[in-house]
Amino acid sequence: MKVLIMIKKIIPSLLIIAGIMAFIFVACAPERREEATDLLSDKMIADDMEMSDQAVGEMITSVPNPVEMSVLLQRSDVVYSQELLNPTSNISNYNTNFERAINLGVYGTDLVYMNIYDRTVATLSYLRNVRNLAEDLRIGQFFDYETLNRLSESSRNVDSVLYITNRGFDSMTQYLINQGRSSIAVLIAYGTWIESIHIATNVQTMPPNKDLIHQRIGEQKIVLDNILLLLSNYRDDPRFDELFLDLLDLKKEFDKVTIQYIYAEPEVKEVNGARVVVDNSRSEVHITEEIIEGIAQQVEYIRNKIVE
Amino acid sequence: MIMINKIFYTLVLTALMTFIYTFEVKAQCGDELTDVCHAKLGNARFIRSFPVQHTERSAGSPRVYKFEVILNRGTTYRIFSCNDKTKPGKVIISLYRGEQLIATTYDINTERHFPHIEYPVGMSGRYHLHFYFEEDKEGCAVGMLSIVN
Repeated sequence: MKVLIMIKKIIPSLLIIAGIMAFIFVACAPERREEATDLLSDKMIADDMEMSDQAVGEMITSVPNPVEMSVLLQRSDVVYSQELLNPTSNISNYNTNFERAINLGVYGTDLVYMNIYDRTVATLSYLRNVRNLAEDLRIGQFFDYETLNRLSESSRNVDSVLYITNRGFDSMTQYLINQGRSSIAVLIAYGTWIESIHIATNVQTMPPNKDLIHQRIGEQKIVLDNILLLLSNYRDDPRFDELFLDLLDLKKEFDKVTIQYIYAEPEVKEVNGARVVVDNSRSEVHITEEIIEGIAQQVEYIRNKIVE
Repeated sequence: MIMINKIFYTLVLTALMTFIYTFEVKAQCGDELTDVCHAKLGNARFIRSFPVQHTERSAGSPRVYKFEVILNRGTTYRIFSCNDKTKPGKVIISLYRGEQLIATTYDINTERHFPHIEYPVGMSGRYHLHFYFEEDKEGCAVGMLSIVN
């Protein structure tokens, strides 16, 4: 009985402490834009999943990092085009976690593209958008905005900026999967990839590097199959189903691309203490201007839907 | 009252210790290790990190952590890893194309570890990175996929 009375005495103190903690938490939280109008954030879609979160985690790493495409464009002497990027003002259109996750990927790709082209100083508003969207999705802790903001003052820091940006996206993905929020990780990857293809199919290319870029676009056929598989997990949600069906239309265009594989045993040599592989296998991509045009049109259709 | 106070402070202390411990583990095995690994990039450009945390198991075959990557023809990739030195486990990376082993950072015959795999890709496509810890010991590591400039 005595114990019960004591507990009753302690409860108000505990409630006061909890209240103070909650107040501090809310007061210290960064300013939020409009609250999300959907409930995507947690395990809403997880019930009927065909792939486990672990399986999603193993496959999502196959969605290419936008660094690879941007480096290829830059090395191919492709001229930088700011007008291809998603205007930062569009962020006010993204009011659901679904839209925010996709466009976090889109802005992330834009950020990488700008940095590869040494437009580091101009990235501030894109950095801010990535931070805001990440915070809205409760993964802002993985995006080191302060450091990036400081480093972006000079284009000499481009490698560090790219590293911190990519590390942040890797950590976000890992965290989301560990937390059972893999649907959001898949949406971010989807946005990242669509924006990358959008840029690659719209830049002005000149021979001989034009073929190299077209081949890289053709190789995205392999990535597309993986993204379809990842999205198929969540098709119970009509919004995911729509993304899936749009990608099926894109697949019709990619199916016109043929990739020929010639297999041969690899050799492994030791060079300066490391293992260096001599790949004797080859792949050859067969893609025409018409196929590129078809892919570009469907990507444009999808991209307009997701950024507007 | 003394007893209740004791319980209360024990709970607070336990919560505090858990909080501190969580952050300590993260500090050794998370971004800090990735940063250490990033410093070893040399003339390569960072593409992706693969953090792997492994707890030693009493039975069964060693756990393999798998990740799929798409590698592109005409690009030279460098794959390497860093281990958390406070843990006994040392990670081994193997690169597969389908079922075919392309290269590994460990030579089972000579029991020798190699610092990295360098792979100028001739065939674009799906590859798998397999991570496992030598003798299945407890460990924490970060794998790095980078492109050679």
